[in-house]
Amino acid sequence: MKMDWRLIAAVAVGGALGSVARYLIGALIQDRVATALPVGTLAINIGGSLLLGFLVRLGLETSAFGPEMRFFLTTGFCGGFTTFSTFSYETFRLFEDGEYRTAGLYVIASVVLALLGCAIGMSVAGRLISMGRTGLSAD
Amino acid sequence: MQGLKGQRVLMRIHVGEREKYEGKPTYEQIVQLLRTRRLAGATVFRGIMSFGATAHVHTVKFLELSGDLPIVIECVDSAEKIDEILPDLDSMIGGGLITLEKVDVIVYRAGAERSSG
Repeated sequence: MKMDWRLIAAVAVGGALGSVARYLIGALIQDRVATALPVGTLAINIGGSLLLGFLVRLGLETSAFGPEMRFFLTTGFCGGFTTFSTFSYETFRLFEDGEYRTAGLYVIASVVLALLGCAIGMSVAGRLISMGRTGLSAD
Repeated sequence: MQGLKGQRVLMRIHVGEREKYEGKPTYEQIVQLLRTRRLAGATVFRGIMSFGATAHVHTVKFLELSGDLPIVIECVDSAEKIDEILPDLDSMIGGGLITLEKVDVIVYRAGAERSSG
């Protein structure tokens, strides 16, 4: 891969914003919900996947934004926002504590709902794009 | 608008999406140049997978490899007009590819002038 400071900078800034946003939102959600299930991380991974699916499709199928903006938003922001490592850690802790049902529920919910989120994000972007195209052909 | 029919040249320009010329995307600058020089028209395509002289793979399938997707610009005009613009294109394109081929233009018209029979 070609090292390119503009793309690296885009990913760096996006990642910084995304991970700080995750830290704040994750803590906020978990703080308000008294449950063994890590709903903060769960909500973030679902939300981030939805956003990524939406942005990738919009970025690749329209000329709404160029590659730098695309990397800032996707690999950078969504990459920093979502967290697979925290999901792994939290699952492991649930297992250690003997909360097998919660751990299993967390794994299934994370994978299924994040995938669904990504699919929904992509389909919403697809709808938007085809609406835009219809709008264009009308004039 | 019928003047283009007959033996013409199809020029195909391959560049990377991230390639810049004077701070703007090279493909946009190329289309602008073709338009300013009154060539018959141009179409820009973005590909979904490619490799070129560096042998690096670019693909939409892996997010981290989608940073420099292939762009193809097609333009059809007379051999003279294409030849005339080639030196400028050469100086605008950093890494890329330009090919020419002979084509027969069958139809060339604006949308409003539909053939009546």
